[in-house]
Amino acid sequence: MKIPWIFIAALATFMVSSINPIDAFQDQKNRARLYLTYFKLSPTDRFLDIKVTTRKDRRNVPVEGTKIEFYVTEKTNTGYLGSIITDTEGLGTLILSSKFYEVADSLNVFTFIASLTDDPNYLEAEKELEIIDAAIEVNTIDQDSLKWVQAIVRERDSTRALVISPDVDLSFLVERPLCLLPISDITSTDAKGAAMTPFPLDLPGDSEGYVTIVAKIDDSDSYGTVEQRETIRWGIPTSFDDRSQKRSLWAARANAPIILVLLVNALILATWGIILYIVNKLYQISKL
Amino acid sequence: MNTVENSNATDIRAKSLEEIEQDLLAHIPGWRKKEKIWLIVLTVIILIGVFAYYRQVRYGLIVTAMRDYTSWGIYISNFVFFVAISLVGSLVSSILKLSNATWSSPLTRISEIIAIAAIICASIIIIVDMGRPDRFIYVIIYGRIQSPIIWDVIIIMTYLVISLLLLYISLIPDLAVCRDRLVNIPRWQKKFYKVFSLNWQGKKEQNEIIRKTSSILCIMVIPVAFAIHTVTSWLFSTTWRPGWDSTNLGPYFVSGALMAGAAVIIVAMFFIRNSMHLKEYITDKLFDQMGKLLVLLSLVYLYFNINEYLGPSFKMVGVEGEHITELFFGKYAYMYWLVQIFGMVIPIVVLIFKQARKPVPLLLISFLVILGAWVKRFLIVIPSLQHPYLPIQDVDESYLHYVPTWEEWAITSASFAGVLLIITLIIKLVPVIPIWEMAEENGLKIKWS
Repeated sequence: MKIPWIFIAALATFMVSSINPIDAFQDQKNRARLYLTYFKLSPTDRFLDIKVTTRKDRRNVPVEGTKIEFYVTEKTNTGYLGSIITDTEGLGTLILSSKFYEVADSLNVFTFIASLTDDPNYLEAEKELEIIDAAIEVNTIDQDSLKWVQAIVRERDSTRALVISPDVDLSFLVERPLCLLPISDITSTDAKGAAMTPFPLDLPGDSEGYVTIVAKIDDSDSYGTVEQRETIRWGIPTSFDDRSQKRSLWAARANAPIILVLLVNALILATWGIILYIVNKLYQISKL
Repeated sequence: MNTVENSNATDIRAKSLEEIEQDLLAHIPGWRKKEKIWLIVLTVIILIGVFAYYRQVRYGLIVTAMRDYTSWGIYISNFVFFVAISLVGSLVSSILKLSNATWSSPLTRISEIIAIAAIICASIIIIVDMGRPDRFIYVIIYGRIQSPIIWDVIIIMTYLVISLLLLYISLIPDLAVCRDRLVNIPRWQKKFYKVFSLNWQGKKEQNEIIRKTSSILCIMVIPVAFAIHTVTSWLFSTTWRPGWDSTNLGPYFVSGALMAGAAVIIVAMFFIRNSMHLKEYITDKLFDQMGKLLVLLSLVYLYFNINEYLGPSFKMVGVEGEHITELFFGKYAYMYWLVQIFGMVIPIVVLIFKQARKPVPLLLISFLVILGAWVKRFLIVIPSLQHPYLPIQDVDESYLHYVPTWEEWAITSASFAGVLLIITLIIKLVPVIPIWEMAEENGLKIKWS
């Protein structure tokens, strides 16, 4: 039988090219989605949060361990802010450093770019977020046995001057040990950029009555999340249970009961003293 | 029977020093085929356990069946079992010695070796139980002196050192015998005997030091041994769980430990006597005495068992009642009753009869006691953990059941193999019955070179 060498060679070439590992790899790459948010807790405390997901079995699942690079204004070395690796939840946080503030000093609108590049499993992806720089001023008003909290929202215009910002949704909260407690519904600023809420008179404060009030714009399309805090002595002083600070069996190691410390150490010293005495005696055996 | 016992005793008394030395040193030089196979089997089991532990370290404790409810699985029940076994050292080499039970002197070394092997593996299994073993050092650096866990760490280390000293001090004259008599052994072994026999010449002053230090250790090891298992019981009784909230737990643990320890000694006696041809030293009478001791210790344990379960089962309060119901009639009932009947009641009844205190039946009963002791510790740890006083709402189904994974079984088996390997290696290196004590009892004087 005549072997069709040309046909076999052509078939082999086709098969080899079709199983090129790089091409095959490219085909398997998934599409990733980026969700970018901006936080300003104070003028010098700002950060960007990123969440990366992908579609799998018709569900959004987090993308773990992928590198995201962040830029401001433009995707160049000048605009580069830093990078993060996403965690098991597909989340990452980039705290904005001095590099951002150098650029930010000349801008009123920040354009942040989050970029996923060079990942073997995911196609390149990018997310842009435009944020107008905003600031909140918190005022406390104590009038006729009533207490009020006022917040004034301002944003920077093109000349970088702070101008009143009406119709902005914000909320008033109070810091508690584990979370923020709302003390008002979400309220909008008026034509003067101000919003007010009464402060509850029965709110516990720290041992001296201090409470920290938070005025917050939450995840606004224009401003991101912006907060301003003010600490004031408006709370009811609370006497804390300081039993854990006293010497007891339940206290921290530094506050162990003296009698227990003495007893245990005496037992350890006595027992190990005898052990050392015996070891010394054994040494004497070899010298006799 | 008496004739056999007397003839055994007479045989030893009739033996010359050379014959005693020959009998008790015969197993040391060279490795026989059976010994090699035994070592290979143990090593394979340990290697499987090491692989399972590698998986546990690599993937975390998720490879075990332990979850938020049953956070102490068979690792901890195994730890409690090994701590219990380790008490055997103090039982024979100290309690029996101080009470002038001279019949037990051939068992002194065996019991001390078992104690050391068990306490070493108990310490290792605690580290195995940790999700992050690399952080073990923090327990010592940042430990709270108020925590029973720290007391346990301290007492385990102390007991290990005392047990090692107790074994070593009585070994010094025998190591000198090995140094002087053994010829066909490797160079490292010769050097080992030379270094560790501490230049022993049998001088009066040297004998004096051995006697004095042995007496101090014999007395000191008793409170430490009781403390080691009492503190282990406090790990449970200071944790607020049904079945553990008991003032009886300390003596309950100690008495159970002494009973299990006696059974372990009997098993060890049987195999050592047969494999090393020591019938003249480990006599039938010795088995008879150990059988009687096992009955006594079992009765004490029975007493504390009644104390432990009668009160809660009479009151049947809340979660405590649920726990008791589960043990008596629930999913753990078959284990509980098998343990109580075959691991305690039947041994007590059977061992009252002299025929049952012969080597083979006593060996079988001791196996039952040991198996019962292990399962009992499983029953102390697991059912209690599955009944928390503050249950989690809508708890995951896997939290409610505990069936150990193959990794847990492999590691637990490896720990048993580890105990046996340590015992084997020590026994292979030293006389398993103290030669100098046997010589002294027979009024013979060893000549030292």
